[in-house]
This record gives sequence, C-alpha cells and structure tokens, in this order.
Amino acid sequence: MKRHKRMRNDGERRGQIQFGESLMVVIILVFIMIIGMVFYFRVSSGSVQKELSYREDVGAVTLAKNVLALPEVRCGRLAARGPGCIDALKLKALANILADHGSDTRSVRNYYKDLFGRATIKVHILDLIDNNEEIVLLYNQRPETNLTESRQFIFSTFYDPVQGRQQLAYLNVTRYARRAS
Amino acid sequence: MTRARNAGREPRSPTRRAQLQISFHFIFALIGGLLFLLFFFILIRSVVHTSEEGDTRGLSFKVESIIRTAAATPDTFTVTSLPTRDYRFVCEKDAEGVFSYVQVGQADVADQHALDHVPVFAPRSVEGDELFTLTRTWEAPFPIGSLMVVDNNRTRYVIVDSAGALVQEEPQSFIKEQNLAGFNMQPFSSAMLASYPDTGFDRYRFILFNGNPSAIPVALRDKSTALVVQRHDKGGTLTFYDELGTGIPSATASIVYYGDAMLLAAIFSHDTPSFLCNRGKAYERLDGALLILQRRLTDIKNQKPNPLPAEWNDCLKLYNSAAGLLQAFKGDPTGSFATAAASTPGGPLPALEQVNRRLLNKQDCPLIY
Repeated sequence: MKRHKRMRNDGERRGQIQFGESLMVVIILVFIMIIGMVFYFRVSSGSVQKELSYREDVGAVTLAKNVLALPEVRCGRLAARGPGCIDALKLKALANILADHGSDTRSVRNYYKDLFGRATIKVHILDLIDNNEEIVLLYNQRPETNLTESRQFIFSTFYDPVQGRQQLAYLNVTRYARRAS
Repeated sequence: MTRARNAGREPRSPTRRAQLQISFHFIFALIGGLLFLLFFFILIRSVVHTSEEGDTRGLSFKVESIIRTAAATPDTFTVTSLPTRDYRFVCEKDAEGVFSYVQVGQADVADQHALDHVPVFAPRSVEGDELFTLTRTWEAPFPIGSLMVVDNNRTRYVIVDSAGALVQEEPQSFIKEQNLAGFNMQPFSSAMLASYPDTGFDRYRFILFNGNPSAIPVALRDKSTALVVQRHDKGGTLTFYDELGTGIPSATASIVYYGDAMLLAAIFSHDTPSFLCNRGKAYERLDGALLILQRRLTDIKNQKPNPLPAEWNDCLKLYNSAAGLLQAFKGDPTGSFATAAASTPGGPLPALEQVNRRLLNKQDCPLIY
C-alpha cells in the first residue's frame, strides 16, 4: 500500500509537472507574440512618421516652386528678364490684396488662402551695393498652435519695371504641418 | 493480503495512460500550432493588405506631386515612368465646390481636393506605365495661370485639316512644335478621313479644323472622340463630340475659347464635363490676375520712371486705354471673357494685346503685363 501510495504520488507529481510544462509553453508563446506585436507596431508607426515627414517636405518644395512660377508674380515674358524673375509691382500688389480686409477682395484672398494653405511666404530682396536686405511679406497664415515647420529657400531675381532695376532675391517659404512638433 | 486481493485482476496498464497522454499532447500541440499559424496568417495578410494600400496611396501622392510640381515649369514636356496601373483624373463639382484628384486603380482616395487648383486636361483615365505631361501658361492676353495636359502613348491624336485643302500650316503647327512631339500627333487630310485605318491605339482623338466628324470611320467610333475647332485670331469656338455613335454624330457642347493654351487643353480633354470643370479652375485665377494687373498699372502711372521717358505722355495714354479695357472685365470676368473671345478681331482682348505691343516699341515705358 505504501508502494501504491508512492506510485500514485509520483504519478500525480509527474502529471502536475507536465501540466506545468504545457502551461509554461503557452505563457512563453503568448509573451513572444506580445513582444512581436509591440515591435511591429513601433516599427510601423516609425515608418508612418517618416512618410509623413517626407510628404511635408515635398509639400514645402512644391509650394515654393509654385509660388515662384505664379503668373501673378512672375515677370512678363515680353520683359525678357529670364526665368525665376519676380515682378516688384505684381508682388507688392498681391501682397497688398492678401493683407487687405476689404469685402471686394475677399473672394481673391480666400482663393489664395486655399492655394497656399498654412504657410508664411516672404521675398528677401538683396541690395549687394548697400549691403541691405528688404523683406516683402507676401502671405502669412501661421497657425496658433505649435506645429512642425518645413522651410524652403529658392533664389530668384527681383525686377522693378518702373526703375528698370533687377536685384538678387530669394523666396523664403515656411509650411506648417498638420501634426504637433 | 494485497497480493490476494489483486489476484485474478489484470495488472493496471501503464501504456494506456501513456497513450492517452501522448494523444493529448499531440492534439494539444496540433491545436496550439494551428492557432499560432492562424495568428501569423492573419497578421501577414493584414500587413500585405496595408502594404498594398500604402503603395497605392504613395503612388497617388507621387502622381499628384508630379502634376503640382510640373505646373510650376511652363512649356516643359516630361515623361514619368510609373507602375502599370489605371490612373483616373477626376474633376467634379458638387454643392460645396470642385473636388479634383487622381485615383489609382480602384483604391480609396486619401485627399479628394489634392488637385483643386491645378487645371489638368486629360482623358478620364490613362492606363499604362508612363505619363506624359506638358504645361502651358494661359495668356488671354495677360498670363492667368498654368494649364497642364496629360496623356501617354496609347492615344493617337489625328489633326485633320479643313475640307478641300492639303494639310495646312495651322494644324501642322501643333505637330511641328517640339514640346508636343512626344504625344502621338498625326496630320491627316480631311479628303481621306473616311479611310483612316485602325493602327492599334487604345483611343483616337480627332481634331478637325472646320471639319465634319461624320467622315470618321464607323469602325473606329467606339474608341474615338472628336473636337471641331473654328478659329479666328486668338480665339474661336470648340464643338465637342464625346460620343460619335454610328450615324451622324451629335455635338455634346459648343464652347467659346480664347488663347492657344486653352485650345490645347480642349484637344487633350476627351470629354466636355472634364474640360469645363478644369477650365473653371483656370477661371478662378482670373479675378486675382485682373486685380493685380489693375493695381500694377495704377502703380506704374503714379510712380513714374525716373528719369521720365521722352514718350511718357504717349505711354500714359496707352496705360489709360488699357485701364479702361481691364475695367470692362471687372464684375463679370468670365461672362465678359466669353463675349470678348467670341468677338471678331478688334475686341477687348486683342486690343489689350495691341496696347502692350505698342508699349514694347516705346522701349522705356514699363509694359502692362
């Protein structure tokens, strides 16, 4: 009987051990799966952030190029001032319209607000003789909350048709992203 | 005593329990393994699906970026290689306004307003692995905005001259132009149009200068559209035939246009709603362009060049004349535009161009545009 009891105890212990082994296997598998999923979601969210950042940069470059190419600010073809030339009078006229608060220019302002989005666009005119810089603020729709900025600079020339003077200039475009910094 | 009790009984078989245990372990392992595999199968499937969606969205973004960037470089023809897909150029209008985008295949669209401000004139869908783009500045007569035309090498554009003549110089100017060389444009005589052969293109677009689309072979009509152009000076009338049918084709719409760039845009728009929707985007710029031009003109008159040119008084007369012409468009620019474009040479738009050219001859006076 003692032997029988010992044999039964041994069997039970073995069964418990085996049950424990199975349970441990399941726990370890679940643990590995959880680690795998955490790792996967971290990597994928990282790549999403990278993609978003890339798209913001592309958006800023596109906006800068498009601003420079706008017929509304570009020098006329007949003026023959070369590519990338900004007409001083057109630029100032557009800047005044966009800064205006009158109702007669509202539809035009809304159009450019839609076109440029959340951005700040400035033209820096360089006077190399007097070592001076004049800044013309063309457009400013800086959001109140702190968002990431993507900035682009493009060199151009600035032509005043009345004075007949052409100066070096550059376009400074800051585009505000949709996500917080 | 135990021995006596147990005498006659069969000894307990340790193998049966072991067999049961083995079976249980086997079943357990099988179920566990299946669950494990199922989990990873679902995971991989969702990853693949997400990846495909991501690729398609990335492709849509890439095409939209190409188009937006190309709009910034006028008179440039570009060929872009892309994965073979069906690229749909959508421009539609609802109660809230225009929405315009590129859809790749049947995928969902991330941004339905991606191309709201870029006039893109293209067939409804462009299938293939290449995209041809060309941008033109629409000058009417002052520069208003950039128009973009898009297609690939699967469309044949047949430029048909006026009836009763050899291929004339006017339609030939389209074919000779370097920037259009990439598109499949072919001059053709109207006298032989009825025998035009099918050369295996997916689509045919017949551009008839003062011609009749009835002459287009019936065999080609299910994959063809036509545009009849009646040109005078810089403007004219466009008659669209979106469906040719088998009998006498009936016109879809007859629209007035001004400017060579707008004519080119009509050639590449294979249907009327798409042309009108994208033309509307170009007209949106008209208000702003007019206002800027008017203010610029005022500044030129007020600021006066220093030193004052000898012909300043003559220039001032021309500026005042131009101001009057620009004022005529204010308030109803698109309506006046259409009327002006439909008028005979000497109407307000050609008159404005003439004033600017006279200023060009003055040399020292700033131009209007």
